[in-house]
Amino acid sequence: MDKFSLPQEYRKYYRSLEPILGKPKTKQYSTVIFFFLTVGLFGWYAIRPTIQTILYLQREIVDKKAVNTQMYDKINALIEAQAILENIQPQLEVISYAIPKNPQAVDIARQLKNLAETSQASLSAIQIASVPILIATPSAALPSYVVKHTTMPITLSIDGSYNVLASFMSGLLAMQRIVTIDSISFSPSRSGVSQFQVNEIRLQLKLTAYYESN
Amino acid sequence: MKQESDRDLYLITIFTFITVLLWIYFELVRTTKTSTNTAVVNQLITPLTPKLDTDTLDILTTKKRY
Repeated sequence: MDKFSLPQEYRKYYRSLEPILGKPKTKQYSTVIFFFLTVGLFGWYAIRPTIQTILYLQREIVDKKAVNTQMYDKINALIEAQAILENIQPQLEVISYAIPKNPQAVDIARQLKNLAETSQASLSAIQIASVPILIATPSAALPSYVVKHTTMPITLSIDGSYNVLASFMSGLLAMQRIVTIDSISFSPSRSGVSQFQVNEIRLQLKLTAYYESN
Repeated sequence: MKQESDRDLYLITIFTFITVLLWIYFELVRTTKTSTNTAVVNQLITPLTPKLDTDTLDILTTKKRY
């Protein structure tokens, strides 16, 4: 716009700026200042997004290649796991005997009674802590592959000679249903002491059995 | 007075320019360092070890049911 076409009220401002803008020092400073401002704005709004996109895509390529390799490894691992699972399929039911999905308190009591009979020991008392008969539906909070084990305390009192009790203990350790022995205490047997039962010992056991609960 | 004002403006511009450059640099570094994988993909690529303790299973098989 021609300076003479400026309205009268603006013309005085232009006239006051004219001597300042005409100075060589101001011209140099203005050039440098506007250069940096232009480069800064151009860098922020044009160069930065472009380089950012380039770097993002490069990073994405690297990540996708890594994911591809890891997925390939995982597929191989899954195939291997499937083969192992097929091999051990017949043995898998043993796990459900060792740690059943419900307490099966009667079954363990029966097994302990049978073991006592087998080892010719006299089972005088067995006490199993209260356990739920029905297991609640699996919790949605836990994923299906997370198995939680619940304990079931058992107290056992058994009489017999040293050899009989040793046989009972060996049998207990060889039992398929997993039980851990928390404490053992021996005392002289007092029940029905006869001439043949002088060497009898009373064995008090505190056991813990386990069952699955999700 | 005017010359000082010009120099101040010049310094402000220089510092602004440096700030913008640093900002761009750190943005680009962040873009390079940040993984593009989603949480689902990260969960999918979790390594799986196809090893099973078959010795324990064999021991369990040899145990008895009374």
